[in-house]
Amino acid sequence: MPSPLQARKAEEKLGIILDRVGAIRVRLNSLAWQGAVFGVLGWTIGCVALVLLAAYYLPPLPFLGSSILLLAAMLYGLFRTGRAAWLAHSSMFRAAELADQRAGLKGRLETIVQLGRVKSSPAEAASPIRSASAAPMWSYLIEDTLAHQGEFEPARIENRLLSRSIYGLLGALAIALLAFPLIQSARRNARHPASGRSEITLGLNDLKLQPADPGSNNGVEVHADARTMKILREMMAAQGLEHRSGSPSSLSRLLNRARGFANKLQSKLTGLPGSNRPRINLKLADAGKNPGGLGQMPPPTVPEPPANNPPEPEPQKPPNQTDSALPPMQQAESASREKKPDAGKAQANASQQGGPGNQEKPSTGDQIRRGRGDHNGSAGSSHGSGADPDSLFGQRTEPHLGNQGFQIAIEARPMANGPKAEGHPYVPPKVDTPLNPEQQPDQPVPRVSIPQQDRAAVKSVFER
Amino acid sequence: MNQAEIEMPTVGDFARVFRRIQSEVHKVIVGHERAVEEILTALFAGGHVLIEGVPGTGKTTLVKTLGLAFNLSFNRIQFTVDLMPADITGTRVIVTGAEGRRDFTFQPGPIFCHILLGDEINRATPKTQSALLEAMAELQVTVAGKTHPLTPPFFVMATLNPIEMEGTYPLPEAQLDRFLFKVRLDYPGEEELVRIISTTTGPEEAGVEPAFPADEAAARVEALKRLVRSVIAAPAIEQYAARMVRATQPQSSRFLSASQPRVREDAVDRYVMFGSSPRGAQALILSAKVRALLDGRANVAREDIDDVAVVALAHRIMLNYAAHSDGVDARQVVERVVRSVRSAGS
Repeated sequence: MPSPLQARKAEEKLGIILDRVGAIRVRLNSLAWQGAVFGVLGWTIGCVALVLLAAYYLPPLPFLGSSILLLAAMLYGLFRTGRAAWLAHSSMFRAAELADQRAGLKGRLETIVQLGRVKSSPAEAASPIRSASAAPMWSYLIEDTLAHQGEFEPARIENRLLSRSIYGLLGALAIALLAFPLIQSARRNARHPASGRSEITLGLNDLKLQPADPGSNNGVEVHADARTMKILREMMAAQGLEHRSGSPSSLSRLLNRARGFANKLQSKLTGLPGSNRPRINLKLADAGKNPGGLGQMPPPTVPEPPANNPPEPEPQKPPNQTDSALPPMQQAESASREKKPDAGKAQANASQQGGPGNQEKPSTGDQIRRGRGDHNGSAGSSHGSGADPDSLFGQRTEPHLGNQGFQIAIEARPMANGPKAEGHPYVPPKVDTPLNPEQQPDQPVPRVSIPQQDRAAVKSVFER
Repeated sequence: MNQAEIEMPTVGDFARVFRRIQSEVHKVIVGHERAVEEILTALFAGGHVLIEGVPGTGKTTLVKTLGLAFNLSFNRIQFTVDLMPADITGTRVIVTGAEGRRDFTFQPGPIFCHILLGDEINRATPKTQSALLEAMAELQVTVAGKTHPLTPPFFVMATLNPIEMEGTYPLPEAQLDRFLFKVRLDYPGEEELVRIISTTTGPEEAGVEPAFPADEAAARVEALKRLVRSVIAAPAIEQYAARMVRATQPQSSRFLSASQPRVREDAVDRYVMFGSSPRGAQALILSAKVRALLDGRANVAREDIDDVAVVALAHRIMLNYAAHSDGVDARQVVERVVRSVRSAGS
């Protein structure tokens, strides 16, 4: 039976070991918490930076998709970080186990922590270290472990003071820093659009009308007077496209809603107007001579239609109505038409003689100009107000699509990945026409050998 | 000498005695270092050992040498088909007294010794084999209704010849379970064989010096066995051993409680018919305590349990036909169980 002095000394030694294990635990838990904090910050900063970048650089639908993905990745990362921190959080026993492993103490600390802490609990009587036979072994274990105390210094068990997850946070900060100039650049570009945009003149023959796909952002907003829109609708009807723009499908409605939501989100995040879709202003080249032309038309800028839904024609504007309701560009055009009543006619005539693509002398009369709708400049403004196709172009000719004698001013940005830019020909939609009762479906011609008497003739044909 | 008079050995004493006996045995036995260490571990843990090896690998010599090194009484029984239980335990014989009176007196059999070698135990009938059961488990024999205690330490080493299986009686599972370890003596390598030749065919035989005086040997060994039992095993270590034993039970076992989770190992589910009994867990802890003392520790570590797992558990699990057809033996299965339990962590 140990004396009280011996018992007190044994308690002190046990206390030294437990304190040391406690210090190891504090260090391990500090690292675990650091890991949690750094991880949460890293995931949040990185994902927010990427979402902002996407808001500036991606069209609405891809922005929405990528934002959802990034949000999911962030939630997963936060979950992983929290779970890892929870698992890395150490109890005294876990700290002792880890210290045993790292210092090669073969369970000494684990045993001491597990059994030494029983002393103050009601299970003390049942503790194996209280049995008479095990008591000497317990003393031996304490002494033996203290002899190894240099091996389980907290700094030796875990030499890091800073969690490795700081690298993740630094990576996220680097992403944010890289994103910052890109965002700044995007903001500058959005506030000060590039000046000196070139004007593009295209022949109407080249104008292929097609409703934009619901999920695509390649569609453009068409702004034109009612008559132009009517002609466009006729062209679309001639190309068999009108039915596609009639009633939007549920998918397209859903996509439009998603696009609208993404647009609003982008606007909120960036503080810029939402849509970056190109706007096209269409004007008839003979509008100057037409009493019901552009000058007397209702405001040509129509509300933004859905991508697959062509805008409804504007109601006819009374002839005496001024252009005060028009946007600045349209007002400028109207003013220029009033000043040069013959300019529109002259240019229209000139455009009929010129070749396609000639900006100075548009040959087809269809002028397509790049730029924002509100900053159109003077393109298409010299053909006068109003249009009378019967008298504007001299002798009446049979109307021909693509040679209607009006100008189209298109605000558009040349894109490298657009179908026009790549020069892909227009592929007409497949039409499955039912056969009449007298028609027979195509049958493959059976392959037969050339009759002996015809071979000489066939040979002579191919030799020639 | 009375056991009370023997001073309790220290951790250092244990390792010293163990290494000394080991070196004495190796004066005669060439090689088999691992097997000798395992046999000594089983002896100090208070268990019995089943030794499997082909003829001529030194099984009998090893046991004899151990007896000499411990300076303990040693007997050898050659198991044959016609061996009867009484030939092992002893029987009552009529003895004429000094007054001419004849009485039945118990004549102890060869089992009354400290170290017993049961050579080729699988050649005896199950009835004779089972005569060893009571002695091994309870350290006593009962003859004609009277119980005769054996003198501790009592240590049985039985040998099995894995070839020549004709006319043998494989040991029942219950009897196998009573052996703490099943040790395999492999065929010696060329270098070891040369050393065997040179040490056994020379003019001088290697002499084994006993580790204890004859009158103290039994008490000293018992003191060392008590020291082994006083080694501290933390609850987490006991849990680790229990988890390992439960992991040897296949999922399909109807004796396994489905509600309690266990570490799953595919090899067990595929090849094991019955896993280890609870005696396997006792064997793990006791032999791990010996390993801890050998390492100069007063506590059991997980590494100690891993070290003895194969030799303590392999003979306790029963493999199915799939294992036999795939050429998988129990040692391989236990090795995989050890890896699984270790990787499952605490």
